[in-house]
Amino acid sequence: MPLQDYMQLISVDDHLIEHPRIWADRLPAKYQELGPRIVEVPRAKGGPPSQVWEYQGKTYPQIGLNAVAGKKPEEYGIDPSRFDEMLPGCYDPVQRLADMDLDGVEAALCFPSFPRFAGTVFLDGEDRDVALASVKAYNDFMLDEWCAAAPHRYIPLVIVPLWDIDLAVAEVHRMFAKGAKTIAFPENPSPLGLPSIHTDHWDPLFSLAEEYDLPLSMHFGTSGISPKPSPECPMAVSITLFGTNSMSALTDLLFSPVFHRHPNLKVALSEGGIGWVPYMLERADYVWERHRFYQNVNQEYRPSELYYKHVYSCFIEDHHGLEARDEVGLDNILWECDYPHSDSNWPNSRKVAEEVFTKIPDEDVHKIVELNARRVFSFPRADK
Amino acid sequence: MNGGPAEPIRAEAMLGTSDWDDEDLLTIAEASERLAAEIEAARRRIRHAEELRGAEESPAVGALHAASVTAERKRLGELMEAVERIKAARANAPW
Repeated sequence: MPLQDYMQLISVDDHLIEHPRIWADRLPAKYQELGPRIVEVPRAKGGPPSQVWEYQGKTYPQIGLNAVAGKKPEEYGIDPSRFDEMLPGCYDPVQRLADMDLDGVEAALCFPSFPRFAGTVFLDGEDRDVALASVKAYNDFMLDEWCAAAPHRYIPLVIVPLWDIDLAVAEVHRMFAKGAKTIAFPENPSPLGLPSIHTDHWDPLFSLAEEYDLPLSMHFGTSGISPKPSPECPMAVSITLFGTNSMSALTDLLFSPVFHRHPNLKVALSEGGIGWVPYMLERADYVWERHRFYQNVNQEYRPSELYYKHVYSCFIEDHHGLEARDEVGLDNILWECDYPHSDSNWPNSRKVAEEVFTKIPDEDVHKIVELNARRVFSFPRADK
Repeated sequence: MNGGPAEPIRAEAMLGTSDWDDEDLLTIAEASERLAAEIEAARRRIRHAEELRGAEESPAVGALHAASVTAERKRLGELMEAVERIKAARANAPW
């Protein structure tokens, strides 16, 4: 059995649902009215009202961001939209640990929900002071409350004020001092109206990420866009194609100046899958071989060299990718669980992992499920 | 088509919104179903392992069956505890 008892599962892509008091407990009184707070709105189909976030005068569903796109708040509620309709492990870090125990998962890196996976909700709204205070409050919650419940089992991921590079740098300094291990960053800032990775705008942030050895965790979808080949296509098309967001992010990175200016920067492509990586590297190298001479492209390093040095690809289930694991890079693959989304196999993640890894040698499995994550996120096993 | 020149659709109109898997939260009903199914499966595995006990051809196989029953009973206990734990925690849901 390749998944041995001594191997601990580390999920590098789980999610938490923010409980109602995160900002209420931390924002100064003058920001309480505009800061994130839960309000109740009636449901179109009746029953108990939905609990939704209100921020700077706009309402946001706690969950179901796309499922509710274009709908009125009273029409939210396709999915659980009240705290008493959720598994308590969604919002309670102690309950989450019990759910992880049942699931056979030792440690988890949790992305935000209401702030979106890279904190981009705080780009909304006119009042930047409220936005900055809200970012800081979320990060304080992440370190002081969520991860503090079990520091050896939660990998602290922080968000940054993306609208101001100096504030972003200051926030990373502050959170590194508190124990942050990774920074959530959009897979592509351009569609969000932010400077692209081809400019020097992000250099101070990336330099600091290098200095502190904080990988950038780029969850797919954080560019704020998704593939939609036809206006009428069912959502299944977009969901199937979502991995192409990670393909775009990777290709953009490999032909950008980012890894040349920041030779120690690490990037994790969360939930992007791994099966496509060998093809994309082959294609990028092919293009580089033939087309680099007349473009503003680094002439020295092949894209695949940069990938193996800087990038980590993450998967839930990807048999094709595991078959090609040597080409994906045994040191570049990270396992994820995606709890509490229904893509996860909870409460059987460990059992499913045993089946997924049946034909893979012990040494490889150990790297994929635990050792790579501990190395990339500087997250050693706790002494027991 | 009206026979006139085709009007291209703006590129941005061909993009959906994002952070999509927010929408796909495991519901309490689905979680309860998963737990119930796993409890039933554990019970079935215990019954099966117990039926095999005593009919083993060797002590070594017997020890394996005994270990299997013990492990399944432990798993069953954990699953049933989880049902109670979640029920209790939901009663204290925030808000």
